[in-house]
Amino acid sequence: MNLGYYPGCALHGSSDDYEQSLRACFGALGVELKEIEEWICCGATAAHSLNPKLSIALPARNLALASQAGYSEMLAPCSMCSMQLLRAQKHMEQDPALVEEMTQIVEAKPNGTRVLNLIQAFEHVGLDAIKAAVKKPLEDLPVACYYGCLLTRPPEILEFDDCEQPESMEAVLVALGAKPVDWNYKTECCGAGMTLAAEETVLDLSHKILADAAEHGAKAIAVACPMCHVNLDMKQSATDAKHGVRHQMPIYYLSDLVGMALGLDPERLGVNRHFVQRKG
Amino acid sequence: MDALRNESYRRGLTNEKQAPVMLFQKAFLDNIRRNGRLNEIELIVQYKMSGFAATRSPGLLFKDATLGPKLQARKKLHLIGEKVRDRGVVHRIFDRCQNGSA
Repeated sequence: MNLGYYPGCALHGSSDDYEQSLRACFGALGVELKEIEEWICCGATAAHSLNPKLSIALPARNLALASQAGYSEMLAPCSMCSMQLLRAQKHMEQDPALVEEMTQIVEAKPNGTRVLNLIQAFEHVGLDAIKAAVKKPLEDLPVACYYGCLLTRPPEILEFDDCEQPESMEAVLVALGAKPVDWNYKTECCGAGMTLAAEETVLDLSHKILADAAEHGAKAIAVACPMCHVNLDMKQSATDAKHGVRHQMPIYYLSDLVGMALGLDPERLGVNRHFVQRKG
Repeated sequence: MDALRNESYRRGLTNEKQAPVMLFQKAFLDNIRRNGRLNEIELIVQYKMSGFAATRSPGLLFKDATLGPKLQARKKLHLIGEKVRDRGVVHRIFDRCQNGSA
């Protein structure tokens, strides 16, 4: 099976371990990710903070490229990118004049390619199929599923899972044989792309997330967003230093956990490139 | 929320505490306009230079300097960033959206 793929900038930058994980994991499931040619940045927070028209136009260009390439579905594994793509799509669905305007601005017509986040991509493959392919069930790893802000919110745009108490990531983990933990911070914000510009905020938010996961028995956190991974993994030592603790909490992309349960070597998934490694 | 942010940016009313965020976001969009995709190294350099020009704080320039080797050890540091082939269309999209109105 081929699946359209919009990596977004982070997965071709310092979060390319996420792309490594996705390609290995989906490859093992018989899915080839086909990158949208000439994709451009979605504009992220900067566009919707500073220029609302641009925040529609940049995703609209990518939607147009995906539909021109013939993809009915496209994986956008960064939750900022998937939200931006869906937001542009939603605005255009509600306003035919905006479709015409965007067609002029981006020099191509955005059509209805369905945008999938990582969890939806696994649902697209089928949780029963994934369960049947599991070779090493994750029985000994209590995991906290972390959704962050943008996998489920704003709900009127994403229309995915329960925006306050989502369970879809847990369903994937259950298919892997894992026992996800109940905890309180699964939809709290980690500070997202403000790692450089508002680091103190990121460290405070991340500390609360890491501490709550540990208090509820988690030995790892699963994420489906490169920004969440950066804040919880790469910045974990800075979070520890600021708050005088030592969390030592490994942070896995959901595709890492699926891949490991399928029997893939963690190194093939890029897990060895994370900052915090599992002990023991 | 975005509407208020847009308006405060348009009027130049950003408060001092939020100034680094605005500098970062402006550097981010400049980067996308140039390359079509984000070049992380270029973004960090531009953000730090514009931040230093605004605050004269040497701390900002050297903050996170120790992170570079750690990223390099994990092959996460890409000195040469990506650019799309057709950067002309990116420039035209930015130009057409210049007035920023929705």
